[in-house]
Amino acid sequence: MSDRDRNDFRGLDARLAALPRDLPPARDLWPGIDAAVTHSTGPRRRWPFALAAGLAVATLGVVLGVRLARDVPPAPVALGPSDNVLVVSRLKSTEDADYLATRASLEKTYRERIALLAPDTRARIEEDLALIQHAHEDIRNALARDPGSRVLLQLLESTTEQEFSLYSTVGRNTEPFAPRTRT
Amino acid sequence: MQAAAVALEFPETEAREAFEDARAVEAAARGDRRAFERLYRRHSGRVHALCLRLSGQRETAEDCVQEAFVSAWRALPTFQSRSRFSTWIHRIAVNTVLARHRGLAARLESPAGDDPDLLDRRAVEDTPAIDLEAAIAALPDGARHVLVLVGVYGFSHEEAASELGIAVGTSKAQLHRARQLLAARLGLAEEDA
Repeated sequence: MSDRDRNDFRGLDARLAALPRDLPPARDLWPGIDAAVTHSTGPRRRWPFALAAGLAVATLGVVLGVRLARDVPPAPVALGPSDNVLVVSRLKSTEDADYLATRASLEKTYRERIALLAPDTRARIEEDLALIQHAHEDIRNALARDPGSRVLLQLLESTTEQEFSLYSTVGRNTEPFAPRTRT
Repeated sequence: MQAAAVALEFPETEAREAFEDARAVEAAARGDRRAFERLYRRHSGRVHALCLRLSGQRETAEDCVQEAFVSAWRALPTFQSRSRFSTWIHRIAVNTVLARHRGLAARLESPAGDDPDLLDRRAVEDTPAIDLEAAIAALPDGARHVLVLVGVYGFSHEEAASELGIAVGTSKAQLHRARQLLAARLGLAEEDA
């Protein structure tokens, strides 16, 4: 590197270091974040330990199972502009017969098994289910106002998955003679 | 006396901001969304600047800001109060942009992806405006990521290499390459360009 390069880079480095640290976004991003954190599994959520642990395990299994049944690839970690089509197509599939049948079956088992739980636990789970379903509707409404929001699209799919997970977790944890899964 | 009163009323901005952040984080961790909004209002400009420079795209940057703050909300219980919120949210933002970039790179086949020379030429030739921000945005991804982290935000090469999943030597080489491209783009080394 020549002396001139060094001088040029010195000037360049100074210009880089002087770039403003604060560049506010062109639009207010808080409404999308607020919608997300309002209905996310935020810092306050509390589950009975066994169910929480079961949920963590069941979530992966159910999500993978449902996805495999629907023959859809797993969700991307991060979405790009071209991913809207993928997510929307997945959400449209929630109107499909397979999806509805799977959901109906899980919900039926859930309704039967929830009655086996202690009243206090049952109440908390019902409260969580109501929260998830309420969130799902809110996000759908928000999406109608902001159909291009990838965050909202992800959240909508997330609430669907959470609902499935909850049904499945209750079913597994209340199974009278549940055989242990072999690994 | 008046000077002392002024000093008490207006403590050092950075320290006051850190104190207010700590209080807001504590409240947000208990589920207080208004406290979290205060954190967003205070930090969104800086997080957006970082996301914008790393990604080089306005829409992507806005998405990443949202994703970073949503991730931060979910991870608040794991936040260590010894750390600064600003440092923490910056790290989350960097990870968000890079995760998105890696996800896209894995799924999308870029015809120029394996041709760094073509990217270099495109970075130098395709953007007519002589503007530092535009020139940074037009850099090839690898060079831009290192330049933004090391050259603009003061990461060490070790830190940048760790964040980017590359070797320290690669980070140094990418920084040199980015500087050369920028210098050429901005007409700082015309004779060598």
